[in-house]
Amino acid sequence: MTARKTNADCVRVLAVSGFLGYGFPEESFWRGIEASPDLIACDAGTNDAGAYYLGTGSSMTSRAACQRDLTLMLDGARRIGAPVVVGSAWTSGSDQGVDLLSDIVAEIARSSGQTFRLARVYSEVRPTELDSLRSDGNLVGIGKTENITAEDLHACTRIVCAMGAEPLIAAIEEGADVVIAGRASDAALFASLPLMRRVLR
Amino acid sequence: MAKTTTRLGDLAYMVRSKNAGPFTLTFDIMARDGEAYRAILDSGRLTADVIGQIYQVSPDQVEVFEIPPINAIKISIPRLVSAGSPQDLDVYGAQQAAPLIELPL
Repeated sequence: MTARKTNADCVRVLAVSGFLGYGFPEESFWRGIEASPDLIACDAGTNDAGAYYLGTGSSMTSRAACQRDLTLMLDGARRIGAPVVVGSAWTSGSDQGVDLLSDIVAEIARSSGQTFRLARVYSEVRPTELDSLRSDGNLVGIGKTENITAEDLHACTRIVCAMGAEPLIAAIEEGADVVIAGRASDAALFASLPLMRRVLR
Repeated sequence: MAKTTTRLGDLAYMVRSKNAGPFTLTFDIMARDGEAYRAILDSGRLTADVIGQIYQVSPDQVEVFEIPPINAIKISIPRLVSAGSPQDLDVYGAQQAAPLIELPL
């Protein structure tokens, strides 16, 4: 990684597309890289489609499409020395999704002869953990998830927490070049570096 | 000459729907310009009662947000079934705007 000039008043973030694996024109991407962003970020998840992807642990976009997008992102990142943050890996942000996406990063590194410091940020919690919060009255539902029961929790195949910017900031601060995160707020991805540099408070 | 009825779709350049999470459906209505935006609001048709009737939800579950700086109105309602469940006919909720486009003002 090359040393970067930092501007105390400005953090530039390149959002490569709305969803990892949707694709983006190479030309637009390289134009974005020319603007010398401080961070390259992309969301890879949604819950709009319901529980299917979380329950099955599958990805809405194909492995090949994720690999294509990540290959360009890592190439661009290496050229300008900016970290890459991907959130809600493999659509649901499951732990296995974080690992599957991290495997792709490792493959790209091997095939291109590059070295990255990779951070994996997991977000799964066990039903028993949430159930103990619930029985202590510390699990508050929103919207249709009001009045959640112990049975509801134990019936879940998989549960992910939505993280904010803090764990992403911790990963970048520890020197990660690439952060592959579990379930995360989209906004947290783009707010991570601005918060870390205190441009956004 | 027959009297023609203005529909919402005549005054808006975009009327679209989309899931906002698996339990909520949201609509964006973008008026052609400020004049069209005022005409839409002045029609008094985009109320919780009317929307509730169209989409079979209780009016108190309908949220209508006016966003004047961009001549837009956002409406959110609960989905009758959660996204992707066996009874769901429109997983992303992107096909639900038609009754609003045709709504007579």
